[in-house]
Amino acid sequence: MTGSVYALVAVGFTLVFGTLKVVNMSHPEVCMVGAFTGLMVIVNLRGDFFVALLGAMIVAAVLGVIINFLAVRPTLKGGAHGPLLATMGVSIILQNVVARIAGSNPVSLPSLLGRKAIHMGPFVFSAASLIGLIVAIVLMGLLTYYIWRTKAGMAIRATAENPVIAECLGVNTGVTFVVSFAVSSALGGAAGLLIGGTYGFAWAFMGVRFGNIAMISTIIGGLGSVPGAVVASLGVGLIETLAQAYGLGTYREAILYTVLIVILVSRPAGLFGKTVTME
Amino acid sequence: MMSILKIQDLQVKYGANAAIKGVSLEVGKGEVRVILGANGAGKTTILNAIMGVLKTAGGSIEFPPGKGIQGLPPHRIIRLGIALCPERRGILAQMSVRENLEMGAYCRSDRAQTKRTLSKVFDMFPLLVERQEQLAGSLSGGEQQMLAISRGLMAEPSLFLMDEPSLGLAPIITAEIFGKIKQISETGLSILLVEQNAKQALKIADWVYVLETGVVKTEGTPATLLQDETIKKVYLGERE
Repeated sequence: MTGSVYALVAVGFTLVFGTLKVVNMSHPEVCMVGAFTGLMVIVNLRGDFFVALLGAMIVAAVLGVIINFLAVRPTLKGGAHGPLLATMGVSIILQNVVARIAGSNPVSLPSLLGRKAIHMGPFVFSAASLIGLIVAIVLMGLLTYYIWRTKAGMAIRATAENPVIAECLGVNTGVTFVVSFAVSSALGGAAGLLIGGTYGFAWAFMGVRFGNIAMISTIIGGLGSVPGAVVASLGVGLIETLAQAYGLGTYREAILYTVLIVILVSRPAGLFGKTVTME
Repeated sequence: MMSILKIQDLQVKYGANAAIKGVSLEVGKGEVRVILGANGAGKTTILNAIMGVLKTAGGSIEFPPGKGIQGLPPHRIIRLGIALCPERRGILAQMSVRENLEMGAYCRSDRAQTKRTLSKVFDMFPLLVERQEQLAGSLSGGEQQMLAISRGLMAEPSLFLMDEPSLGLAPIITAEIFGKIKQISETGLSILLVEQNAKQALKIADWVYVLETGVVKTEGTPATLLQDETIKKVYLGERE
């Protein structure tokens, strides 16, 4: 189930890489801001879970667009490394700004998804992770529809494949880049809230933990491949769960990194990725 | 002749290097004009400058005459009625043939009219009907060229820029492609064609510009140019 939420984060990474060929290192922190936005909506505005989810997605989308304009676009001319470093900087700034405002200790998220345990045969799930799974599936479904069935989605795919040709066909690729950032960040905002809801906490440095795992999933799936990100995230979630079940929870990240190394050695472009030349 | 495109003293630079050094040309309504030249002469650069892919360093591009379009981005140029069939085809390999064609009509909002254009395109290139759901990248070179031309036509342009449609194709396929270009020109569409294959290009051209290192060396009707010994030797491979 955690895999489906990781998928939301990983798809955010991969969507931006696919269109802009940029690795947005601040994406996990955008997710973290989504979690805190949801928290604020619930605690301060007394909104329910779905209002919090919407709020988290909107704030994250706006933040993503701001990052695109302030950190990515101005550094794009220097090749892919500029945005990578710039977004890394944004990531540190966001962590510290939130830590300054909310403190660096975890802040308890109210039981926005319920703390009840649900029994399904031999399996026991928390209501939070089940709702998280359903919301993640719905959002992934909407994203799939958007990317594969709408004109705007087709423009994103065309831009991802060849931005010059897409421009010559009438796509305003500048707008497409902004839209990709907004969509990717909105999904990240939702993921942040769902992860916070599952753990019961939000904290300024939460992005470091799941950001790494989502990055592993993105690379295993193949940077730029949306189906790859989904499949790899589900696989990574499954590995984590199995590691926990067999008492190897302490080693789960070591296991994940081993899988990553094996995949990179055997398929350097990831499971579904293709080789691209970076400037 | 009523011009629809007028280029005057066009200059394009790559860094400090001048690629196009003051080219002037025009295309009349319903005409096929050809820019002939060897590799590196600047043929593609001219098309890219018209399309807004490259910035101009000087001169003017007017479409129609009196309306300067230099400096506009490609997504606005296509909406003015100029479509490009790019060098090496530029098909979107990971999208289906159908999606490539739909992308060709991306700038259009009139669905019924677009549908009519699609059926006209399918009439001209029936092979694409059966390949609709296939990934464009899996098509052969000739089929990809047909797709690239069809995709350009989907925008219903009034000026079609074609960049070396014969590049990398077998002679028999090249002849077929040029047959199609002739068919397209007979519908009244203005075409500015860039080519190295003089033999085929001269057959369909109304007017030819010979470009050498960014400068128009000579121009004229195909009949006139065929009298030129240098043209015959350099571009048609004929011995004296």
